[in-house]
Amino acid sequence: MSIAWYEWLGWLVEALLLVLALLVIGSTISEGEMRPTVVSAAMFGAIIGLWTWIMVRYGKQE
Amino acid sequence: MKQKKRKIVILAGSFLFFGFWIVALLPIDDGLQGSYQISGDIEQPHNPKDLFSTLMAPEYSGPKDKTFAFQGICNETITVQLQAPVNPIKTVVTDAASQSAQVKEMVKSMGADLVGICKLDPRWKFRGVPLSHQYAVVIAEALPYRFCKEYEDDLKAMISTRAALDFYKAGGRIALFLAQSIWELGYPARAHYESWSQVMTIPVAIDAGIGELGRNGLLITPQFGPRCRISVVTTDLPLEPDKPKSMGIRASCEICDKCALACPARAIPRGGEALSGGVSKWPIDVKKCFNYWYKGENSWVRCLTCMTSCPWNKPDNVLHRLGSFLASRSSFNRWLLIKTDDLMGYGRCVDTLPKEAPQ
Repeated sequence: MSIAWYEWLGWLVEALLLVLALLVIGSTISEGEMRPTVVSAAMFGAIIGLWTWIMVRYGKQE
Repeated sequence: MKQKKRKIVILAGSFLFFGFWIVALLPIDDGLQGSYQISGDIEQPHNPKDLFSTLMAPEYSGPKDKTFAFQGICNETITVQLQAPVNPIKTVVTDAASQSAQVKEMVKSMGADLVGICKLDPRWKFRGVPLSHQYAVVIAEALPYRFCKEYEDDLKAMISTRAALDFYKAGGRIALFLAQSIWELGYPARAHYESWSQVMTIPVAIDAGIGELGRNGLLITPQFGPRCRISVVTTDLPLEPDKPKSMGIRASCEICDKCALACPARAIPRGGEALSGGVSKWPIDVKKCFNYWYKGENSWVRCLTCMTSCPWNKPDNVLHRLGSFLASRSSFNRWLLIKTDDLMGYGRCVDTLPKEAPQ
């Protein structure tokens, strides 16, 4: 099953967001700072969650 | 229909994501001022020892001798002379660029975090100092990030403060070794650090492209923020100077006054830069600062508030290097990073006022 070109773009954004989230959350964990870790995890969690919902659920074929 | 709507949403989201990064990475600010804006004659201050005697002496009992002692790797005490005879046989230097690279490599291998070279501007010497060297090698030692956090725990805070003061010695040790090596090459050199300095270390470090002057009156570097302790070696050894760089630090201080708001002594001004001693900067009220933390008879209260509250005070890791890079690109990035800093809870200000004044 092939996917449309714009879906490739969407998954690329998803991958880049994941990399960015790993970088930010990983760095804040290594600093031993509690609040930046919690805030960045919450922010990226919300953004990535929303984008994944758009990519996976929102456009599901009826 | 639903598929079409999905296509629009994915394209809009992708456009937002890539658009944001394109805007963030574009170098929008071309006219950033990294160095000093000088207007008229520079007011050269007196020797720091005189400053100390005005503000803190007669009880100041800091270093006054002509030697510097420290623990060697085998735990023996090594004493280095501040001044020694220069080798009469001069080594000929044909390639200043390669000589500079060697100096930088040597200094870094001895533990310095940042090193830069500049032509020594005579205006940055203390008044009446007979120093005629042409070049300055600037050595910056960064305090560990953990020492520059505001602690509510008094013991941790005091250890951090004392460790921060001790770091002056680390830079001084490297400066002395470098000066000695240059003497052996047959060129005059002098190590400047702590209260033995004959030059103003911050403007010299700015000329060497290490950082910029912040609102808090400290040298702020992109890698370590305001946590650097600076030592300088002035010399006539032919070297290739670096250039001052614009890193967006002064520009970010223009829109950020976290240190001014946090300073318990109210020694840091808010608002724009002002002309002070012939240089456009945020003039620090040194007396207010000293009177706050120095309590006489060699006792002081802990205070690193101007460092800990600074958004540039971050660990040197990939994330914060990316932040520093973005801050040099546009004022939008700087505004966004300062707001993110607030949101993340960095630079949280803890009341540093002593519960009871020391006796």
